[in-house]
Amino acid sequence: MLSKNKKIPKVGIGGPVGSGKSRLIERVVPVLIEKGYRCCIISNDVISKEDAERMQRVLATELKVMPENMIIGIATGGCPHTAIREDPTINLAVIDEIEKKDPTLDLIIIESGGDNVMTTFSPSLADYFIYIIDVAGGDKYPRKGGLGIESSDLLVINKIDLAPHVGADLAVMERDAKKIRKEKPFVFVNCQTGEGINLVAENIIRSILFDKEPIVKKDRIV
Amino acid sequence: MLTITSIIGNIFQNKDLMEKFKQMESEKRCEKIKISRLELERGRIRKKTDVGTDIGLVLDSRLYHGDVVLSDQEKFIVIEQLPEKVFSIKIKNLKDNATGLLTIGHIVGNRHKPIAISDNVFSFPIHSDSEVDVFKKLLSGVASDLEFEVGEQIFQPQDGMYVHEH
Repeated sequence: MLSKNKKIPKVGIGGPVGSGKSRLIERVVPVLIEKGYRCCIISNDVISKEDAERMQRVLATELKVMPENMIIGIATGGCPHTAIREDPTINLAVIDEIEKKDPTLDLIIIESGGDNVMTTFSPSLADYFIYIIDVAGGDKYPRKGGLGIESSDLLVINKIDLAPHVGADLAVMERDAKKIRKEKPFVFVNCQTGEGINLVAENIIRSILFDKEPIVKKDRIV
Repeated sequence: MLTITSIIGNIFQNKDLMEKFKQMESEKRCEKIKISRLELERGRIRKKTDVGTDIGLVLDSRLYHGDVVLSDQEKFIVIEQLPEKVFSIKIKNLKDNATGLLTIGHIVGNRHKPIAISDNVFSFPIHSDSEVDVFKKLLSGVASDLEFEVGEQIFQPQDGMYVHEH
């Protein structure tokens, strides 16, 4: 077991079903890889491994930015938050294997299964927590609060292109997010077009990778 | 950015550190990293001190209020936990009040709250004022033996009762 000081930084991504967790990863990871950071993805799902398989198809087969075996699916059974908070053993065991296999990785991204607004990650599992919601849930979402919206390190508000179609006012969401999160950052994104994705990558690089250079500089991973 | 990988000690447990803290504070050479209770559990976090020093903490263990992360001739950096909203229940008559105690334990435990117990006061953090009404209502059956109080404070849970919360 590696000492925690030498452990690979870990980002947890949580949010409701359909908010865009997998799509966010599919967008952010190529940006990080382009900058030279080597990533591994663990995708938690309740029953299937559909999200992991889709990310393998997009990131490994189509974009060819990372090897397929660096995207690992876990079917957790039970409620999604149990596998990332109450009993993260299954995820910790996978992380332990990854750290032994390739300690020079820069980042591990852990995706939770879709859950409610009280989602949080166990601090033993994630060093940084991104919570994602989308505008289709209504512009009331940020002000309703909940641990995910309030305590996450970065709040991502996705599908901003849908705002006019669902009667959501982005100015209201911005006002409420600032009020409820105080100093903590939030970003508007459109995971379909890539708008705002660079800001998410910048937050990860600054806050969890401490602006450090990639451990092993490579032009291409595959 | 200054990277820190170990904790020197805690000002509330080490007299020498407390003396140095007071001295450095009086000389305006003490900096504080203000951090929430949930963030104290992180092993890796980037924060600015109250005077703007950029710090990256990469630790083997969790942090506590009062931990000293840097101490030299020039500077003293200490962790300051942020206060939060806390609901406190004072149990007026502990003796012969098993029903009240069990009811409190059941109701609060079911909500996965970390708790602190000191003398005859039982306290736990809440997220919003709306929770105050909920707990008062849930505890109404045993309320005659209880006194409720809500206030901002640095909440330090009992060891072993630092559960997840949601």
